[in-house]
This record gives sequence, C-alpha cells and structure tokens, in this order.
Amino acid sequence: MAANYPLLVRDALVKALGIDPANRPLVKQATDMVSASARTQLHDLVVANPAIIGTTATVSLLAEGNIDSANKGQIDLTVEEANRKVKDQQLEWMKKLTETGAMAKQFNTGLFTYGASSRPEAAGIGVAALGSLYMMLIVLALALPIGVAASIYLEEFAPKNRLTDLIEVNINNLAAVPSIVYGLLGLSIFINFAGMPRSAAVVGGLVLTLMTLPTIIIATRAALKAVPPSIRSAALGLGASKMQTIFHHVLPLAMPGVLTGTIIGLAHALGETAPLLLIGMVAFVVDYPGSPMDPSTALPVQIYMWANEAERAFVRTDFGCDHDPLDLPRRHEPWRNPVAASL
Amino acid sequence: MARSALFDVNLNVRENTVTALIGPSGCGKSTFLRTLNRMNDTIDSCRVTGKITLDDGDIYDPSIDVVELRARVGMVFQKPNPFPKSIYENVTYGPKIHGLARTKAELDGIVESSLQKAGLWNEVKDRLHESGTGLSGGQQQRLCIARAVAVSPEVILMDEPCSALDPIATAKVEELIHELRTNYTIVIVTHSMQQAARVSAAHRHVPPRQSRRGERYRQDVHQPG
Ligand SMILES: Nc1ncnc2c1ncn2[C@@H]1O[C@H](COP(=O)(O)OP(=O)(O)O)[C@@H](O)[C@H]1O
Ligand SMILES: [Mg+2]
Repeated sequence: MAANYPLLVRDALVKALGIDPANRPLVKQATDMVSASARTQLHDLVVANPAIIGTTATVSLLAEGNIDSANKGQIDLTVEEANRKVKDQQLEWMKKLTETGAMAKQFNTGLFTYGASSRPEAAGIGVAALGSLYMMLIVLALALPIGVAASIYLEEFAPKNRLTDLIEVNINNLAAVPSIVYGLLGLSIFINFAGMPRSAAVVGGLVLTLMTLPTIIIATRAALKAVPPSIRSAALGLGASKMQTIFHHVLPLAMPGVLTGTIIGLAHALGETAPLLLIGMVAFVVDYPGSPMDPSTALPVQIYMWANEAERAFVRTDFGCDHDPLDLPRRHEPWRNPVAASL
Repeated sequence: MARSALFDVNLNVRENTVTALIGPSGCGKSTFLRTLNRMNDTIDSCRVTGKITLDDGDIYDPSIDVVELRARVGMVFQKPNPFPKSIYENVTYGPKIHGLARTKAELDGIVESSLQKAGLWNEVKDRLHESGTGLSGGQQQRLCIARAVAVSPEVILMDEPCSALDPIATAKVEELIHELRTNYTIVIVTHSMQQAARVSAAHRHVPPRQSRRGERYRQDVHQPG
C-alpha cells in the first residue's frame, strides 16, 4: 500500500490550523506535532478497510511525545525557545486545537499492544509481555516436572550417601548463585555451544528454568519431608507400593508446598532482568514474536530499556532529582483531529 | 555397628485367635510386630534374620511380593492415621489398589461390610463422604480397622491400638477386637495386662533384654497358619 500518508496528515493540519501551505518551515512545525507513527496508523486503517479510500473520515492520531509532555506541563517553558523541544508557535496551536476539541487527552491503549519504538507515544509493553509469556510457559513446562521429579527421587528413592549429600549441598548453593551468572551459563551453553538463536524466548526460558529449578526442588523437598510418616505407614501397611504411596498420598499432601515454591520461582523468573541481558534479549523488538524461536524481549528488560531513554516522555523524572519514582512511558493523547483525509 | 533390637524369638501364632504381646517400652514389641508384615523393610538400616512362615510359606523369601503379603497381613497403628480423604475413600483405597472390586456397587458393599465389622457403620453411614480426619479419635481408630479389614486380610497386626484413646473408645475397640477374632488372626501389642486378658485367648510376655552390641538383629519367628 504505497500511499503518501504523511501528506494526508499535513493537508489536514494545514486546513485545521489555517497555515499557508507554501510556508514550509511552518508546515514542518505543524506536522512535527503529530507522531510519526501516524503513517503506520493510517496504513493499517486502509489495509483493514480498503473501502475507506476516496472517502473522508475522522481518525484519531497520536501526538508527538514532546507535545504530550508540554501539554502535561512537564517541559520547562521558561527555557529559551531555541533550546526547547516545543516551540512557541506549537504551544499556540496546541491551545487552539484544545479549545476546538481537536486535541484531547485520552488513555493510549497502545501501551498494552505496541512493541518497542523510538517514539514514546508509539511504545508499548505488548511485545515484551508476549516474550515474557513464552518464557514463563517454558519455565513452567520444564522446571515444574523436572523439579518435582528430582525432588521425589532425592527425597524418596535416592540412597543416603556421600554423592546425594553433595548433590543436596550443590542444589542449595545453586539457589544462591547470582542470576547474572545463569545468564553467562546460558550464553555459553545454549547460544555458543548449542547454537540456539540469540534474543529468543526459548533461550531465555531455558536460562530461567535453570535458575528456577533449585527454588522448586528445595520447596518440594521441604513439602515432601513435611508429610507425616504416619500417612506413609498407613498406605504401605495396606499394601500400597512405594510408587502408589508417593503418588496417591504423599505428593497430593505436598502439593500446596510444591505450588508455593513454583509460584515463588515463577515470580522470581518473571522479574529477572540480568540473565536476559547476557543472552541478547535487550533487543529493540517491534513485532510480536511468532514463536519462542523469534527475537523477543521481556517485561523487566523493556522497563530497563525505557529507563535509559532520553525522551522526557519515557520517564517521569530525571534520575537523581525529584522524588518521583521511575514510571512507565507517559502516554499521549491522540489527536481527535478531524483530519479530513481524502484517501 | 549393628545393634540388635530382638534376638532368639520363637513364637507360634494360632489361627483365629487374638495373641497379645506385653512388655515394657522399648523392648521390641513394635519391632517384632513389624517383622510380621515386613514393615521393617521400609527402614534402610534394619536387618532381619531367621524365618517367619505364614501358611508354611517363608514371608522373607525373595519370591514373595511384599505388596501381596501386606494385603494378607494388615496393620493398625498406635496413633489413628486415616488418610486426609473421605471415610468412603479411606475404606476403598485398599480394595482399589488390590483390584478387589470392579464396580461401584461392589465397592459400596465392601465399605458397608467393613464399617459394619468395625462397628462404625451406624455412626458414619450418613456422612461417608466427609473427611475421615473429622471423626473422633476412637472413631478414627475404628475407621483404620475398617480400612485394614476392607482388603480381607488373614492376619491383622495391631500396635497399641488403644493407647491414644479414652476409656470408652478403648472399651469399644477392645470389644471389636474380641469379635474380629472369629474371622481373623490377630496379633496385638498392648501395655496393659487387663487389656491383654480382655481381648486375647493367649498372651505372651516379651521379656526386656539387654541389647548386645555387635549382635545382629535376629529373629526366629514361626507362624504357622
Ligand atoms: N526406626 C528405628 N531405627 C533404629 N532403631 C529403632 C527404630 N525403631 C525402633 N528402634 C529401636 O528398637 C528397639 C525396640 O523398639 P520398639 O520395637 O519400638 O519398642 P516397643 O516395645 O516400645 O514397641 C528400641 O531400642 C528402639 O530404640
Ligand atoms: Mg511400640
């Protein structure tokens, strides 16, 4: 769909603001007020409904991030105009458009659906959330069964000897290993050695699985130990085999403890950033990953990346000044501008 | 390293009688009882030597399936230990794992007859699907007896089954044991001479013995059918 979408926006603005179309600098200032994402927004609109071509429609477009910040009073207007992101002329237009109702504050639901973007108004957590979801599914599918099976073996079947003592000590130690070390391990084993793709949720999931396993094993073993021996005796005395005793009686009684451990482990994994940095999941991912093999990012990593952005709209306050905590990107009001687009 | 809990034991247990074992604490009554259905196998460090026969078959023979043996020799423990499941499930668990019932009706029949034999039916017939752990101590112990009876064992071992119960519940359980002897061979451990006299036809005294260091845990228990 090769159409000149920015032109539509420009024409509409020129009309709404009453600017001379020949005055290039002025027109440029006006079009700068609308997010560059308007282009894709209009494109998507046309793709979704080709019949719209040739008609006049009213569409809401996002405002540019700095305009939004100015609108919320977050830009210091006492600064000299030349050093300011938002010019006096634009402020004047903002006032005018707000009065006519063409510009209004709205919640930008794109926060939940968009992916990464260099423009704060078009950035969202949708893509990162899907990456996190993939990883959690992988962790759940691997860490829970492996962790529970390992615990049952160690607690119920393994002989008590030097080797199992050593394994027990090591599992406890693994739970205390800094998470970034798991990132190094994942980088060298899964990516360098096994040749798995970088930035992929599958590698992230595997690394977080390794990280979560000790937590689940420790919790499960504690839960199995806590099952009263009288219940085991009762089952064994009735002629239940060891397997039947464990799976019919001991494990169901230990289940609440197992689930507590799993939830703690998963929550821990969900919030983990450091190991993901090392396996390349600090990626600028715009599109939803179609599978866990595709490049993706994760929620905490997304927040970490936003915190490093320069735009005012990505963070609420500068680091180190003011008391406001770091915030999610500020959302921006779309223009409810009757863009008389002749599509 | 090995310390023997018991040695030189030789005992005949008669069919369809109640045999009571009395002795001071720690003299090895429980240990002896647990050799009879091989519950001591679950303790890694435990060794048993000698021979125990049930209907002329050595129960420690390697060809013996412990699961089958425990279905033939049931056990009731000192502290009532119902599963934290419904009364119905407590009784049906044994028959289910041993494949004794194929239909729901058969299971229902086993539940009723077992609870009848344990003298608990009238008290719980309206709340079979409530938790077994919600019963009183005496009822729980009778539920454990019903659970043991449900797999139709030949022998029932009872390790101080009344020690955690009040006198009234004790009387009920004693009466029950007395009645059960017509169908089952019962070996019971007790602390009280009176109880031994009340429930049993024969009672044996297990004398306290000095454990001899270095001596292997040894038993020579003969148990003809
Ligand atoms: N699981 C066990 N591990 C090691 N020793 C045990 C174990 N159970 C019992 N014993 C020992 O066996 C001896 C007999 O115990 P027990 O049969 O329980 O006595 P009681 O006659 O009071 O039932 C005691 O000295 C006890 O310390
Ligand atoms: Mg005892």
